[in-house]
Amino acid sequence: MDSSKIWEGQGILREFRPLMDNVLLLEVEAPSVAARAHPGEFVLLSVSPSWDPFLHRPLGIAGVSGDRVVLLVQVVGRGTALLQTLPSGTALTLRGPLGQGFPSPREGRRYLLAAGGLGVVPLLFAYRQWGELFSMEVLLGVPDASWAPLGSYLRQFVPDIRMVSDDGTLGERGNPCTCLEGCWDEVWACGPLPLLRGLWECLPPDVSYYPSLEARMGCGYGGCLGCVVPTKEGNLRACVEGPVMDGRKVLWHELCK
Amino acid sequence: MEERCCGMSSVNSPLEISLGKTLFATPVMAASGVWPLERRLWPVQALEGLGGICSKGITLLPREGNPGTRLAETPAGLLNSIGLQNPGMKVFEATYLPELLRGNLPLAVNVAPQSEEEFQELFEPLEPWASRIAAVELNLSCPNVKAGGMSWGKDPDGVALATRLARSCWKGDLWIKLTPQAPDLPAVARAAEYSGADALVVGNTWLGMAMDLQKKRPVFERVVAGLSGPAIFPLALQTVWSVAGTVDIPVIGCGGVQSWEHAAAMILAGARAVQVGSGFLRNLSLPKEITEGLLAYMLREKFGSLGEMVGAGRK
Repeated sequence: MDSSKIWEGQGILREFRPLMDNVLLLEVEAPSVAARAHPGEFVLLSVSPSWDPFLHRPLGIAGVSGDRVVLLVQVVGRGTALLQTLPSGTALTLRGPLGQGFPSPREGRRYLLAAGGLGVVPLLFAYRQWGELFSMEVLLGVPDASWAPLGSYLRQFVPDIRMVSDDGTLGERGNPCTCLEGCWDEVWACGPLPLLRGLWECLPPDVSYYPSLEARMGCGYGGCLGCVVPTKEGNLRACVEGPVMDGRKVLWHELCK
Repeated sequence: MEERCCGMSSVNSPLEISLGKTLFATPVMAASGVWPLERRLWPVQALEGLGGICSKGITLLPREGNPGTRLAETPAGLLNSIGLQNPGMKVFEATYLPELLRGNLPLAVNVAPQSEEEFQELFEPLEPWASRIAAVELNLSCPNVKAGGMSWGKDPDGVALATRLARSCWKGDLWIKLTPQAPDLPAVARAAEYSGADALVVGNTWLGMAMDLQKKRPVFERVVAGLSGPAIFPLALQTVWSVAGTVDIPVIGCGGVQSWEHAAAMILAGARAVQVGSGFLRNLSLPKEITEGLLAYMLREKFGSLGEMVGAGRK
């Protein structure tokens, strides 16, 4: 990552609608971020103009639409709940694009993009960018049929997305670990930690594995070291050396403690 | 003017301020712990208005830092338990120090000895760079390590001993970064002054903790963590006021600075400069906003130079 491309300023909330219960679709007008974003990178978004909540929220980029950055946000706490209350046209501080995204795909390789829940966000951006140019399939695991609206949204961009659910009410019963079918040269993944660890455990060792890891985030530019991930090369920053990392280097047993 | 007396604003800017042998173009510095060691990662937006940089805390040997959760948000603030993750002095000196100095900004190297025996070895690699380093900032205040750090800084004898040891190893400007956890902060400040400190950084994070209600145990593996952010500003301002009224050496205010008003308040209380830490997590333009705000305020209140403003709130 090169910090010289980081921009921080006011993004304007343009499009804002609930996609399903507790999931918001946001489009933020921020040309400087939109022009530079690469799949797998993220932004830090302020949820309040005041100093409370203090930290910006790290959000994966789901795509770019003209000069807008597309974000899908799961409402999980006070910060993201505040986002629900904002009217269109609100100016929000945005810092980005940040982090190390997915490696550029290569001709002749077969890619599986495996996600759990809203972990699909960075993979959606990757597919929108490269899906038609390279051999890529998307596999998404969700808890149940209540996630169908997310599937409908995703099908606009990934018509042949394969969805599975924990209780079998949407697609096959199972999750991306239990429903792995096919031969892949490379797997990119994002979602809950147990899923990412599970994929690492069940993928053959010759398959390259690039998970996008979530961490509590401070500065986003490699200064505070608040977001480190334990790896064979020491503690690496999710905001600079990640969030997409070589999954074979991650010390999963330590990370999942 | 020496090479290190450099900065980014125009010559004779009213914001210029001297600290020891170094002239800082502005009184706004990046506090230790938020500025990347790698130059390619420097947030360029934060350079505008920035007068100096304090490096990450450097220990003799490399440290991986603390395991487990390292950050927890609090109302208008942040708890951290980073634990001085750093590459160790040898790698720092060989790899990162030359990069940091190329930045053309005065640099304070923050060092964190873990024992009395380490001082000599810790300072030695810095000696060849002495003419280019603005100061060594001796960290007697990190709350997130077992040895060294805050354990030195809480009582006057520990501060005096550590300051004397550092003084004997380092001929350049020596800043002592104090902890607000010291039960008698003025006594600790006096101890540092009498033992050879050139300036005092007041202070570091405040001790706090958080509880995970799901796991029914503390959020941080070391239980305690350091609280920073605007929530602590009134506490930090009081410590600056208290120390600036006690010692004759310069005081650098640090703690919760999130606006030009905060910086102005610390300067009026007696600080010659301020450090911004967590503030960068919310706002990369903070040095620019602080310097612009200070300039407008000085014009309005008829302060011809920053020096005139230092301690003006005490009269």
